[in-house]
Amino acid sequence: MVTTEPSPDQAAAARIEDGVKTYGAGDAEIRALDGVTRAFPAGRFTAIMGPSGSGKSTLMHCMAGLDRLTSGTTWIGGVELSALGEKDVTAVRRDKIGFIFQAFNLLPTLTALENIRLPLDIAGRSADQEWLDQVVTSLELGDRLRHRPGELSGGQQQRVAAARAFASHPAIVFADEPTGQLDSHSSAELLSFMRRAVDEFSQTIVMVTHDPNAASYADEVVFLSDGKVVDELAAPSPTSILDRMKTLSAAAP
Amino acid sequence: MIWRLAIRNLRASPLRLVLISLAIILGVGFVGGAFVLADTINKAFDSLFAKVNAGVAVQVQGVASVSAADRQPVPASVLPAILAVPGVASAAGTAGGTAAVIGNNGKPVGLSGPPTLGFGWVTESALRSLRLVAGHAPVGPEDVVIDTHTVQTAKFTLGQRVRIVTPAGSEQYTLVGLVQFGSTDNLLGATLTGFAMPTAQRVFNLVGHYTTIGVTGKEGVLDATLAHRVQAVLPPGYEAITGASATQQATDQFNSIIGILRDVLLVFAGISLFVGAFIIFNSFSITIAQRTRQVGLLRAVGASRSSVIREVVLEALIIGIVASVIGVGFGIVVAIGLEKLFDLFGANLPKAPIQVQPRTVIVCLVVGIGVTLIAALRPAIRASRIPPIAALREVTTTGAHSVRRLVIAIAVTALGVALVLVGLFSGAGNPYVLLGLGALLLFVGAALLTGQIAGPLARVIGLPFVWIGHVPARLGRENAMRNPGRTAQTATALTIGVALVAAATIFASSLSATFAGTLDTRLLAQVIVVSNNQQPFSSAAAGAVTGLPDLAALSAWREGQFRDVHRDVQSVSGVEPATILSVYDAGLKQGSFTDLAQPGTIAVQKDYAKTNHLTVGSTMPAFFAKTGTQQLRVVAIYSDSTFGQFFVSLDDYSRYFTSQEDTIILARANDGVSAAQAQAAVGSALAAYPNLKVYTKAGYKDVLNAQINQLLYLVYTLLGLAVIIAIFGIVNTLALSIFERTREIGLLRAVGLSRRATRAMIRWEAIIVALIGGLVGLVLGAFIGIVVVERVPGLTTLSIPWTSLIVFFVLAGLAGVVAAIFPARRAARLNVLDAIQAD
Repeated sequence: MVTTEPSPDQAAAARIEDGVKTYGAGDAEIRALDGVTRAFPAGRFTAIMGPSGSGKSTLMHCMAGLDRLTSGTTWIGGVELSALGEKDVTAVRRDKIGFIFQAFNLLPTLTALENIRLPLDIAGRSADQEWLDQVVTSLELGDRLRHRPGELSGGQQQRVAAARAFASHPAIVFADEPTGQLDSHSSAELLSFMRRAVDEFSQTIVMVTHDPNAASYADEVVFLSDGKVVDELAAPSPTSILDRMKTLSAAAP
Repeated sequence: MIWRLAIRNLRASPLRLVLISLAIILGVGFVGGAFVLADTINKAFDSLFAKVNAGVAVQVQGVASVSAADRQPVPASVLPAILAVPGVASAAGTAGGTAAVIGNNGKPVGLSGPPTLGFGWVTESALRSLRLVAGHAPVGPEDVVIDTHTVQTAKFTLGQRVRIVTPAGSEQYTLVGLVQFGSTDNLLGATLTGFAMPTAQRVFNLVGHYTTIGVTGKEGVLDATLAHRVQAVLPPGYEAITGASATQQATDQFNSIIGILRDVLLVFAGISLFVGAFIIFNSFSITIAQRTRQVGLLRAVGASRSSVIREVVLEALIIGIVASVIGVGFGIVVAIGLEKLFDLFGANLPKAPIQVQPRTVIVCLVVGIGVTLIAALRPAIRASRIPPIAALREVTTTGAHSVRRLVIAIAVTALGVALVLVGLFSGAGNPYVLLGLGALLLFVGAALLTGQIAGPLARVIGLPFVWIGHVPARLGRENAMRNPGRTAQTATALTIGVALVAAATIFASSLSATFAGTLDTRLLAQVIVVSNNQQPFSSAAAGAVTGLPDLAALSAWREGQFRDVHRDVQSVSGVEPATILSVYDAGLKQGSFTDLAQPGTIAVQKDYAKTNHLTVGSTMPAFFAKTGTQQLRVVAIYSDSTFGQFFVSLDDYSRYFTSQEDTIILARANDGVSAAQAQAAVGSALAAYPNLKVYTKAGYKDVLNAQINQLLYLVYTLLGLAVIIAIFGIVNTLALSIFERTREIGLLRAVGLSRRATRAMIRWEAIIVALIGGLVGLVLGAFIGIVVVERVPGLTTLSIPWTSLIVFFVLAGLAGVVAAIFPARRAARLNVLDAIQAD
């Protein structure tokens, strides 16, 4: 079993220490996260994998400030998220984090461009136009910006969601099963964009997925089981991931 | 199965259930309250007068040949003949008139609304309505008895001197006793006084006469038989009716006033129910849209279209029944509350147990359940059109912009406008039915039309807010524009209230402006004297003012009625021929007012003269109750219609009418004497008449305006109910929309929208919806107000109170803020994670 010791001097975009999340109480208590400690280095694309109920989504939600740990601490950059109040957490989400969800989660009343600019508008920040153009171009959304979500295909909608996640130059982008509702072609398009965002624009991505093919786009894969980090795999390929998963489920009691 | 589904669906959103029910409960409650209150008061008066009149077998009175107010007094000389009728046990005359009681503080006692009633003391107790409770009966010429309530309010003590103003003038009397009317301390806030009979006859101008004569019968003689026998000995112009009929006449008089009160309450209850119907319609439409998948599934597993309709209708039926039943209960509470309110204002109502008649319950249930079902019918039909495939795929509901809908919207609106105009201007049949139906269609049409333009309207109205409110305002505006139909229906609930408020305000403002204009142009007098309760007052007052050195001219003014050549009842004013045109510019067209001094002459307004082909010199017949038909010679034709269509001299008036009391005195100051000086001079000359108010022209204008405004505020209060229901409607729509948009809100929160900004977003949406309602309401209200003002003949000046209208618009926006409080808090409290993952 391999774990990475968190070290303050390492440039971690996000970090969790002794993360515990329980639901319910007494006999009905479920430990969704059972003492997770992990750093997600900047400029890397990390995939989190694990069977259903392994706690991978809970881990992401807590790290992204959408949910709170029962005990333990989380950081985004140098900010200890778990120490902040609701208001400040909202501000951190707005200013430092980007999100891509499984169901596209666009506002149907806004155009594609307005959706992309939404976090910037909420923050009252002006867009870095050059960056925005770059994102829009590489996602091939240029001719779709004036359309409303209802007029876009699923793949296009998810690309708009991705553009929104990256539009504000976030410190880290969390993606929750981003390809879950896409066909293989659209999935490939989105994932290669995410890969490029890390390689060419030094973005940091943490992606939860159960699809080995999607995870193979990451720099490394972290495996979770029963709320614990049980394994990790660098430079993964679909085959190596599948192999590792088989081993893990065989090792499981 | 359908039954279970309906219950489950209702329980799924308790908030919706409560809000819909509230709309029905409030509306039904006021319908019920109006009936219960009216029935209770009626019952109370019935039993009160039945008790008071219990001993009266037959009542002798003048025939109401012109009007009930013009019944001629009965000559005392018929009394021996009546007593001689076989079967008569006893007979005694009554005397009645106005008697204003002046308090120890020199001010009139009692409210300024209810009348001040004076009576002659009838010694025969079976024939007397007043009952002595303390002291002794009035015997001497200066003795008086007063009702307990008035004595208590004025803090009088037995034996003290009390000033009372009667038609004969202002005099001091000694309080010798306390009385009740039947068994109540007081009668609707009126003051009651009793004098010895000869005194009463003197002060009420009844010397040698009685107002009525009461007769008791011997054992075993039927009232009807006795009435028949008494009638036979009466001179023409008088009638003998049974005690029961007399009671009926007395109660009818009060009940007609109560009936008006009831109808006014019913109109406002109806408005509230209409607003409620919009809310129910809207609420069902939204929930059906949200349940598209569920309905699709039902259809997919084999439910028929009609069973889908049945399910929705069943839901409505359950809500309707429950809310209506609660509404009936609430109605009883409303009635008790209103009764207490009357007592609080000193208008003591005779007491009777609360009357909940079967009719009241039936009307409430029919109206409440009916409104709910009708409002839910269209959403139910729409639900039945959802295809089974909707269970499997996302069916997006888009605001259809079909030409057909636009055409229907325009057609309904046009029909509404047409009905309003026909109702107002054609003079056909019953204008109120056409007007009401027209207004109904107008609002429905406006709701449909608003649905077509709500998008652009929200964009324009929201524009300034986007500048102020940035992202939350923009998001709020987008939400308001998203489903124009829904926005329009929600806004329309408020539209109705705003429109009626605006129309009432335009009407009142025009009324004020017309009065002000008329007073400025027509009234030449600087000083105006009227009584404090709109009752006529002693003509001795005019005598006290006549000859004051500060005054150049003066005319007292008396009002009476006659029947013209068409047997129509007309009002006529008695005035001073020599001075009337110095105090009032009648707009003389032909002839001369001074010629009215010749006996048997009349001045006629030009419109009446024209339709009846009258010119100076022609004669017209006039039937007076006292004198019978007189041939009157027209000596003047004039144009102004403000103060009536006929004038005669005071001398002629005193021959045509029994009662000789003035309604108003107009006085013109000498040159060089200011209005305030003249007012002071008249005031001190009338020191003995505290029941009279002396105004300058400016002061009189203020008083009229204050009276109009008082009425307007009452209308505002009653319309407030409709506005409150409309606010519930906005709350309901917002709450349902937020539920529908849970995921969006979650997303917004996830990408960094703060709770505060989330609240602001909901608030802006509510403000925009409310302002759309306000704007459409102002437009409709202006239309209704203007056409009504154009229609009412006396209203010559149209005045649009812009400031008030702007205030209403702002208040509509504030209503939005209030409506948003609860839904906004709810939206801001959504758990981000749950919200994002919500279905």
